[in-house]
Amino acid sequence: MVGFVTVCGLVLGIVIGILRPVHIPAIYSKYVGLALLAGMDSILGGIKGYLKDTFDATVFFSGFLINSLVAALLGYLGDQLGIDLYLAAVVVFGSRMYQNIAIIRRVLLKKEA
Amino acid sequence: MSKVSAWRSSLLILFVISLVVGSLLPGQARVVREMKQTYQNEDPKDLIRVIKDLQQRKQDLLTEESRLSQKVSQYTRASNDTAAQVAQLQHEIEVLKERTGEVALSGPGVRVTIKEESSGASPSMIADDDLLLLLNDLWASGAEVISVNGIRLMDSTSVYRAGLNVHVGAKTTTMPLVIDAIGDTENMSKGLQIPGGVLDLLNLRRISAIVQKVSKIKIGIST
Repeated sequence: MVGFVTVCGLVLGIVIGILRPVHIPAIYSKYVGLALLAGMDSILGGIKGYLKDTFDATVFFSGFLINSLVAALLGYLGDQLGIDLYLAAVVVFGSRMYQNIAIIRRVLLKKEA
Repeated sequence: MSKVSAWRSSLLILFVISLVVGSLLPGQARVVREMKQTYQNEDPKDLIRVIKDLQQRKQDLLTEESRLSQKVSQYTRASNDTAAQVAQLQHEIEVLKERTGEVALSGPGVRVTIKEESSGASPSMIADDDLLLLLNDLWASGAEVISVNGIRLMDSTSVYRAGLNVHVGAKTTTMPLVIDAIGDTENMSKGLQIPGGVLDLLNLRRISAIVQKVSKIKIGIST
């Protein structure tokens, strides 16, 4: 159920985004990309928490906001300091997405069994 | 809050956040696609180099344009004057004679002496490709006339290795090779000695190549 709701939300969002494109200024696109990565990580974290019965709406929502913001800020700070600091966010969120997907897969397989 | 309403609100939050993330994805993808088609995402150092190259090219083209304009006006003037026409034609004959090797030429240039290492377990040998690379580098860096062991190269002269001999056009010569080139001495010398260039390549294979700047080189007629 939770996967279905999430996928529906994503698909509906993508359709809305295609029909009514959100204008993102080119100079902020890097930061928005990082924020989206953090957002996707949060969604997968939410699904995992939901399936494991540890989902907390406040934790999830605050995690989504703070992670997205921190990821974008890291990118900005890295640009100001001349360091590819955004890579830290990419590595952390990227690996966490993999971990979350693996956990979701295991939980779903156990439920099937 | 009952368990059912908590369950519903959790799903609603997940749905809303998925919707937000999803709605931003196409916009972000579009921006990234657009940026790839422009110079916005390029390294400023690369852009500076591109701009400098373009400026240099523009300058070269402007110089070429003014040179050609002068030539056009020269021809226009000459067309009204028989003596000037004759002088022009004679000048062209001289240029063509130089090109076809009918006159000996002399001037400043470079002399490249190439020696192979014949001792040791694996003697080094210069190959056809090395010779071509060396001669092409000389032409590219401003050589006007080139001779190999005194044999003048023309536009269609072939140079290749055959056993211990080196064939230059219809003639045969042997190692060591002395390549004389008349032209822009500085440019040719730098062009050959560029790091990672043909001389480095030869030295790596134990083929000695020495470049000397010579104030006057004489290259005979093509026979």
